[in-house]
Amino acid sequence: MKIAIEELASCSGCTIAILDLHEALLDILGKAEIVYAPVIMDVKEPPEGIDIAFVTGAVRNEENQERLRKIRKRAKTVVALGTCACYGGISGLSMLFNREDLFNYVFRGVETVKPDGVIPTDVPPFLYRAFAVGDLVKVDYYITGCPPKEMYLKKILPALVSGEPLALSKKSVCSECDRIMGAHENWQLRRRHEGIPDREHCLLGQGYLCLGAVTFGRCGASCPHSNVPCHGCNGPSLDILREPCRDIYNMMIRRIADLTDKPEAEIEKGIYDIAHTFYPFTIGSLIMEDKGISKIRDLIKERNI
Amino acid sequence: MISRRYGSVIEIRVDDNACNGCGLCVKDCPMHVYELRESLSVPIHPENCMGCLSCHEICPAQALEHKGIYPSRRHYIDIRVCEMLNRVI
Repeated sequence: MKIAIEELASCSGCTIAILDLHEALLDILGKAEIVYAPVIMDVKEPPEGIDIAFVTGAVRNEENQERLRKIRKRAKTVVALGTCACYGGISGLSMLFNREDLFNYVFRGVETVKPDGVIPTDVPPFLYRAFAVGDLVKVDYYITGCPPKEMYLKKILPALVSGEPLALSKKSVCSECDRIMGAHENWQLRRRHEGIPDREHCLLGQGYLCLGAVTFGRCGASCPHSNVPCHGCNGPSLDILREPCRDIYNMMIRRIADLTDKPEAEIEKGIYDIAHTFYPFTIGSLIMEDKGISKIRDLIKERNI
Repeated sequence: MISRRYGSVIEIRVDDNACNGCGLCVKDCPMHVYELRESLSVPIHPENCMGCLSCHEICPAQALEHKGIYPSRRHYIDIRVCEMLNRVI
């Protein structure tokens, strides 16, 4: 069996997450061979006849798009690995700016820019927007996570290689969190830098925008466990993905309203920077954007593409 | 035709590892099925349940399961969403 790992617009963290399997990786390598993975080996092009291709990262420029199409053609099974591949991830936030601003920021406004200011001609142009992998090609499996945690990859990867069925929890981050949740009076929104959260009680109840209730689990609630509100890096929980009337923003507001008995309109008044607080990992996903109630379209329509 | 199911009790399961004891199901249930005991939701009157599954929607931890009860079928759902849902592993 041949395995490939392709990198698109990503930080390579998902490939490192596979290396995080440590000795368990040896068991997989007993049954399968890694034939292409730019981060960990020196093979320039994916060969033909790949059995499983893991694709990490979003599609943000023409090179990403071309590489994705090539790996899809050469692989029997394509697995979107990590939140960038599944929902656009952090790269999607680039859609808040227009292409020219992005280009200037990344290639012109840096210390390493050449003094003559000449841009090499082989820099791939940006696409008009960011895409999740599944928006452009057929994906056979999705594994979310930023990066996917090795304790789950240890179960998922051997099952993928051997073709065995897999039954893992598909619940939200709250289901893995050990904090006590409850009704709150005098609830007030607090930004992350304000105060130190109480370790025992729910962060959302304390006023912090913890996205645990609307986020797919499989992280052991590691951020709330470390007193940090959930950022939503695993992408939306499956009920939010499934139901057309549910979206990250409206379900968060509803959840706060349920806990605090405050009217939703009043809660919404205090909300700041919706793109970075609610959609930092899903703004690049067409599926999430196409929900009628999603705020993503409003957030990106202002930009001049 | 109206089918009646006297005597049949809906089986409600609460995943006690997942439940955060927020009490939203207790507050939300129109039939007062749940009660909060020692920071865990307990379905004390499953015989009252009318299967609206409002509690499923409100539970932040997705800790509730009603055996044999499913949400009513929607006439329209995005095919891309269906495909993606089945492929999340």
